Amino acid sequence: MEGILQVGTLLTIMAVFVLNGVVNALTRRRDLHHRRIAAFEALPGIIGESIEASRPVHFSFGSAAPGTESTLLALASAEFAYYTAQLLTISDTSPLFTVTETAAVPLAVDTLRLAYQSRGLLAEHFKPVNIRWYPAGAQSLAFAGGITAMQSEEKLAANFLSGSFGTEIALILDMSQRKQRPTLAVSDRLEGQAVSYALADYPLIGEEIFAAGAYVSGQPRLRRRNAVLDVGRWLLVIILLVIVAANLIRLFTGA
Amino acid sequence: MRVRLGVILASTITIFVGVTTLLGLLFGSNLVLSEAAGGELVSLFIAFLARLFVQIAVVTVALTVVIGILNLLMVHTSRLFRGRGRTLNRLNSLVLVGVFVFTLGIYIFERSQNTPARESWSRLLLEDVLVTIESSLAALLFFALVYGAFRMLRREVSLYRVLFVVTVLIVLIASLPLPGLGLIVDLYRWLMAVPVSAGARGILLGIALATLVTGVRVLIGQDRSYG
Repeated sequence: MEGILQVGTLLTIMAVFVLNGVVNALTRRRDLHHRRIAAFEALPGIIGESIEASRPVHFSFGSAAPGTESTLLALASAEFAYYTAQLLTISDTSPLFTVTETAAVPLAVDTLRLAYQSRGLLAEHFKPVNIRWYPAGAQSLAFAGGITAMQSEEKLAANFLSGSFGTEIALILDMSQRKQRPTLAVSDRLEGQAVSYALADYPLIGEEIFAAGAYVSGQPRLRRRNAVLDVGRWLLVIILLVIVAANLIRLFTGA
Repeated sequence: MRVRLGVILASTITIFVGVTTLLGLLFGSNLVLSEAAGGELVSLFIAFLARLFVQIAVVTVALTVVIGILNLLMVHTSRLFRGRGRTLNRLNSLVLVGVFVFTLGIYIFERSQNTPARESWSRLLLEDVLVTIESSLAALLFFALVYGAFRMLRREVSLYRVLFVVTVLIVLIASLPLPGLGLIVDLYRWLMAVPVSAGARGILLGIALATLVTGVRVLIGQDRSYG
């Protein structure tokens, strides 16, 4: 059993490695176009309003953090936050970051710091107090309560909730709606994803957060990553359809 | 030049640690690279390094609890003493800092006195205060979800939103312990078994694929979101 797991894992990684290499080689000199995602189309307007009104944007990773099983989701959310925060650096107010896993605090600090550093505004505007930890852990109601209270305490422009959330995200989204603040939300957990779809103004679904960096920054490297994701998704669909077809044939022929 | 060297160093460390940990955890000391005497030593060394890196990561993550607590205190004392924000906000921060100091003091005192668990104030604060507050928030969650579902169609009427609300109604009605709901219960069971399972697996597969692709790109240094 262990041998099958080892070989299977290695084969999967090698397959993704080959897929990545092939798609990168084929798309290197091409101008890639994205499919339209409403959340990312609304982003420039939200950022513009935040800058005009001098109100901070709130980013939250939820319980996604490095060192947990949501490490790569945390990195993807941080990448989205980095490129968006870069656009917000010209505002008078700094974006606010909230996390519920302590391991995400250094990630959030570094994300905001690098955003300001890339614009040469580190000394003037970067303040570590704009990163806030609320206790603690997955599906933390104390975290949701803290963020809900923050909606009243801070005059936020918008909420970008991308990370690992459970049903507790409903409290945050409900208060955000009452304050008439646009929200973008996505979660890797199904219950959080369902609530985000129902209550957020601009929900993302599943892996769309991994594509966010390319939409916001327009970097060719990240667009090629989206191309790899798209090709991989279609390959997965084809493989599943082949398996279904094979099972149906076996069912009807009695083989 | 300094920035590029820093990026190269970070990438090199990431790739080395990532690949070593992956090989070490996947194969352990069974990764025999060659039949020569040195091959077994290398595989043992890789397994040792993998365990060491994991231990370092676990200890580092555990230490970040201290960072989180310091961050919490820094944010709220800054609000208190620098006069930032409204009076009510500063009052909230004062309560938080005060309760933190009080709880810490209680805990240290009880540990020094070896107070039994059933008589301890810290247990009282945890079970009778904190859990009660979180239960209240959980109850509030129900109302937030119901109100959110109600507002869903007010904002925009689309096929998917109507489908969402209809599905919620079917699930809720099927949960009722009333007679004569056989058709709705059957519909509910079919919904859970077929489209909901399929959709859930689709979302999870998509996230898994994206995680895998991003992970491989981080391992080969193509994605450097850490620097």
